[in-house]
Amino acid sequence: MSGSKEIGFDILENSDMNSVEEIGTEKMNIDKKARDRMLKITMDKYSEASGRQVDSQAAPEANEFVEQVSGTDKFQHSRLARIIGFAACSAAAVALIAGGMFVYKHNASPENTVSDPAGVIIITTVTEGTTAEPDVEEEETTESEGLSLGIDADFISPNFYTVRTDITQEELNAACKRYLDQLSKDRSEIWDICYAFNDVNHDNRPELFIKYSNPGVGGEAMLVYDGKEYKSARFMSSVSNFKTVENDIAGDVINICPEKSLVYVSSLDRFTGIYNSQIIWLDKNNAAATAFELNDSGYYMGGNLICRPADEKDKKPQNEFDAVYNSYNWQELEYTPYEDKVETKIQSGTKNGTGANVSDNKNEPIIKTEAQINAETKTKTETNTNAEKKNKTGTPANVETKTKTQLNDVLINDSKFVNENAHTNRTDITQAELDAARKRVKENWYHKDDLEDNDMKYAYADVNDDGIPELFIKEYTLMHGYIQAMLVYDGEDYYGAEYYIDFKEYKHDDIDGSYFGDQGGNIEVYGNIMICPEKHLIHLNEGGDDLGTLLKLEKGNIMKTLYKYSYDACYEGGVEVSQNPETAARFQAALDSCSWQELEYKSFE
Amino acid sequence: MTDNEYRGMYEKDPYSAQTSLFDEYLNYVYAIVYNKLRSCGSREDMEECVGDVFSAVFLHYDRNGSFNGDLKALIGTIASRTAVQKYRSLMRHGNTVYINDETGELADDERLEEKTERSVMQGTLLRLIKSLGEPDSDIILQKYYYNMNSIEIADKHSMSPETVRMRCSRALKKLKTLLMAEGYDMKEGNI
Repeated sequence: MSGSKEIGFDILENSDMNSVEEIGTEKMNIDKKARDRMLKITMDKYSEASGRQVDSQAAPEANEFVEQVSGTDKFQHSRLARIIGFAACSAAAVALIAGGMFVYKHNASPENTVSDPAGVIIITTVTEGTTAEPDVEEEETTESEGLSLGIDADFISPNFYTVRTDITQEELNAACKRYLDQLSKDRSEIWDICYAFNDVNHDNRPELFIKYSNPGVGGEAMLVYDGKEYKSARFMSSVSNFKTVENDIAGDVINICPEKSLVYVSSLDRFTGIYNSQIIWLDKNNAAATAFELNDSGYYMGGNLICRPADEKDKKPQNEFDAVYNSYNWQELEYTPYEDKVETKIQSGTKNGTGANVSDNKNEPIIKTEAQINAETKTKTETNTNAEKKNKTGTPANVETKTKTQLNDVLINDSKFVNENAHTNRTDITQAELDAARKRVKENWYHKDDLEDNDMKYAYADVNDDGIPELFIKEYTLMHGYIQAMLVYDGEDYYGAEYYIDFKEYKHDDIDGSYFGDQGGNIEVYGNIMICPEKHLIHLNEGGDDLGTLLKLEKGNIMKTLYKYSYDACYEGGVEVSQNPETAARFQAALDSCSWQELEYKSFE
Repeated sequence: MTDNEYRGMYEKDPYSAQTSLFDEYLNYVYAIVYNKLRSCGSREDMEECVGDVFSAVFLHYDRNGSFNGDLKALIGTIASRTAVQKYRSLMRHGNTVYINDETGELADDERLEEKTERSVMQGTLLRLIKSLGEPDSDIILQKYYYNMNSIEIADKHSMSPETVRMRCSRALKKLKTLLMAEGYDMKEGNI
């Protein structure tokens, strides 16, 4: 540190106009939502100042929240926002949110190209004394008009559906069996597979729910029928106010509220201890609208961030979500075991979950009249009033009841992706020396000042069995939650360990995708690191859909990238492989073949 | 967009003209506003301020029937002034002393010296960031000046978030080295 003057990025503030252009004009992230918000603010201010009303009909883009529902109603968001504010716990709010977004999705969904009268959604659930009536304006509109409004569909996911009306329960049973047979075959590590039918969205094509156990965790998932097969249902999950990702409707636990066509899915993030939970509204064409969501970045309503946690202990987002959750009558699904009795049970057509519209006659088409549906809905509503509310932790039962299949032979042990980290051959290293190096790491931690409360902890573990323990750091960041880093000792200091990965699309001459190892830098994971010293393995897991990265640290701190399975690239042994369930299953099997240990972190004294 | 082009559009459809102007200059205005409010304003404050700027621009046209010359310069000036007003307004409600008020008490030569030094430092930092090359220079600014996260940056550059983190880490280290060679230490507390 030879410099005498300190300089930071804040020096760029109040730059002259030329510098401002250089710094910023094209570098900022102004997404469409933000652009529309600012245009609306502009027009509001302008019309107020000029005393001239800007006609919102002539200026549809000025009001991002003027949302139209095909062939039926139109809502002004200014009122909608108030309604939702009042009735956040009401199904009306869900219907408004989801219904309002519906048109775009069905226009934008290439796979749903059916010009289906059922695609017209009619909102009938504006109830509970909200004041929506005056703003609801009867107006015929076309789908193209709906699309031209630029409705943000970031938080609606189209799903496969069918308009067939000749579907029989026997056909669904057969499709269910095919799906479960394949699942059982593809995922040898799972057991206790169960299934349930339930027509959550009252389209007379029951959704299929499955439940299973696997090592350590289990899960439930929802599937929709496309006229031939049951397919995974997807929904949009908010990562932040500016980013969504599409996920399967699957989690530790799924509850349903057929009365309101809602599905609740929740998973415990085992690294952060935070629940990722969603309440999803399913329309009659299986489009899934994420009405409410809770995750580590906050609580969302209709895709908009309502509140974010002030810190790790802030329960406000959880409480807000819980209040919504508790306002519905949730049902647990009644599952039937699959295994060897599946065929008989499925084909019986009698065990179809709670109140599914499934005919007892397996050859009879299951489509019913509107009157029948209404009658059944009424009955179900009454029944559901007393439905038991589900414990959200939802740990699957019987997790320990079956010995998992050992798949030791699936683990790849070598890789083309090798990175040689700093190391030492010294044999006189003492623990006191390592402790001193560890303290220097904390003193020099590269982004300590980015954090308001980093709560830094450390753990030693000799992953490669060379007698020199690796150092692991865990800290809390406001932006990313807990992050963990791994460092290796070079005889003088601990340095961030590196591993090598080569993204085909992001190859650059100077980096080649090698993760750079600043001190305290990488390996840095916005999630969890687990180790298997027995096999010298490290698992980096950032959660979500990614299964993470599986590394092997050999003596000499040679790091091999054995597996990587992420949303944008999958590798096995340094060879790129396609992303598909088989790849995921192999990775999972490799993980399952090891005894993973959590690191035992201690506070820095 | 020129003054004449705007006038032509405005005569046909005022709203379309205003929206076109808004879209063309949004990034520019936002950059100016961000540059002034970065340290004291929230995203909402900045968006509000952008709304004030464009509203003022539209009103200016309504009053004068033209923009009288360089449209970009006019918008830049309005944006800069509006942002400074917003800054002052925010500061009145905070505990921070507005820097211009504070520096106003300094003697002219001290003020000039400070201004010059600041300008030199700005120039140095920008030059060194630029020397990192694309996309690292963009990534560094987006991460540390615009406080965008890896996912947002990744979206903008069609990279994976992991690549962004890696490039950022490497670029920051390089920048620190370059700054040291120029006699500066990277301020840890406010990178």
